[in-house]
Amino acid sequence: MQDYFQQLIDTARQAVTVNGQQTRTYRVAGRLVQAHFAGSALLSVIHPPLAHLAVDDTQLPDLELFLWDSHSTGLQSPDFPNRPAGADIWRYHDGRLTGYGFNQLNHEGMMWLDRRENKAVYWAPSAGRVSSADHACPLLWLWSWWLSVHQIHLVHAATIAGEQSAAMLVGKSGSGKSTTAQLALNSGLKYMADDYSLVDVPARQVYSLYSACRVMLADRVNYPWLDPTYASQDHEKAVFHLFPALKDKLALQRSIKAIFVPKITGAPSSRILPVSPAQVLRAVAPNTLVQLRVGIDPQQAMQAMSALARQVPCFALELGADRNQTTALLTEFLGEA
Amino acid sequence: MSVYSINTADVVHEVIEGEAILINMKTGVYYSLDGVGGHAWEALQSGPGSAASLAESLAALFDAPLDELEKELARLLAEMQAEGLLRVGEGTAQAAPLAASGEKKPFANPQLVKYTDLEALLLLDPIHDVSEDGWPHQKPDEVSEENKA
Repeated sequence: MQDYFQQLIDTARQAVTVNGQQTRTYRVAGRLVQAHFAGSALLSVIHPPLAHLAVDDTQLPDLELFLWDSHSTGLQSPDFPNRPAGADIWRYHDGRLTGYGFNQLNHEGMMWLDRRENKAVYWAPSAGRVSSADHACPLLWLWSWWLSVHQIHLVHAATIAGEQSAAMLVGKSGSGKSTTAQLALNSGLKYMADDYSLVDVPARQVYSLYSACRVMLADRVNYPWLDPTYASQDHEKAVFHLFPALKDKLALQRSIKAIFVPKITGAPSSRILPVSPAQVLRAVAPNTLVQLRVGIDPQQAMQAMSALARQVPCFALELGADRNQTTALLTEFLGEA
Repeated sequence: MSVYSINTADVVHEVIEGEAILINMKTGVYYSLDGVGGHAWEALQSGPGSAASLAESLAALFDAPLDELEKELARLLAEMQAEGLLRVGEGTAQAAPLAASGEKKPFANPQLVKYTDLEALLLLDPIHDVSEDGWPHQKPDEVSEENKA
């Protein structure tokens, strides 16, 4: 499989010469990632949600990433031997190389990581066929594979922050994670994530990964402050790119003060109550591991989330109807009042 | 004697504050176990165990007759095997005894609490493993399921 990966790298290197190489450097959880885009087609899709992490840094990167699409470069991805019809999603994992590909609902693409060489490749047939999830959370699994090597864990959690510390929000879709993160954008709080957060458990630090958020189309009217950042939408959700318009509302790294398990109660006001670490682990681990089930050691990730739940104070966040009271409560909790 | 061991190929697990949280990565179903069940899982983490060997170990922790503990554990172990959380075989129980501390806890029948809210995620997006032998190929059990249909 190493030969195949080398073919991918060679094709990607050739692709970036067709329309002009566009290189961006990102600081992801404290590590430098140099991304070489073949022209502007994929750059326009993949870069905006990561733009808040872009840095001017010429040091040797910790990861080198090549991205190309066939439509704008005329270069196809090397053929897969023995590929049968009917497999919409596939994965390969041998400890050194991890690959993941999909061809589903008119979306197609694949990504590969070589852990030993710290090189990665992303390919799509065209920018228009990049999955709708990648418009808000590009390269999700690639980050998960690569950062887990460095004991940084991608966790299915929203994160809001004050000036010094942050609170993570964990739970299944619809529990109020994203709602709370988006409310933070209209308060004195900072936004770090609405869906996926990066966590360094021993250092008790959380990092922002994406500055894009997604809102159900029907709910969009409830977040008018997002309107200037509207980017795109699919049949279900609108995508907003918070950077650069709301850059002052974004935080990149904080120490973790607490973990909340939110729940929308319909009560008039919100309140914060202690819960057990077990309740937090039950809210975060299955969601995270079932979603990111490729290319990571799930038992190791489970133990990291367990260690986090044990070392950080855990609370239920009962979300009431009064949004102003909710943000005031969280602002006070994070010491910003 | 039936001896049970954790199905480590498919199950991710952790015991936190006496509660075992178990995720079957093959089905997307997850579970919690506390009380007697949480302690039984903790014992199984140290090696295979039978209903009898686990009952003996847990008798030092819970205020219950040994035969009742064994009966309830036999039921729980069979249920966990049916859910794909445990494998069963013949052999010798090796689970280490749990350390007793202080007074015995009140006994309640162990309950395996099952959560299925993530199951659809795996059913909607089944991932096909590929290997050096070739690109996406189905596992034998997937092929046979399709043939049945």
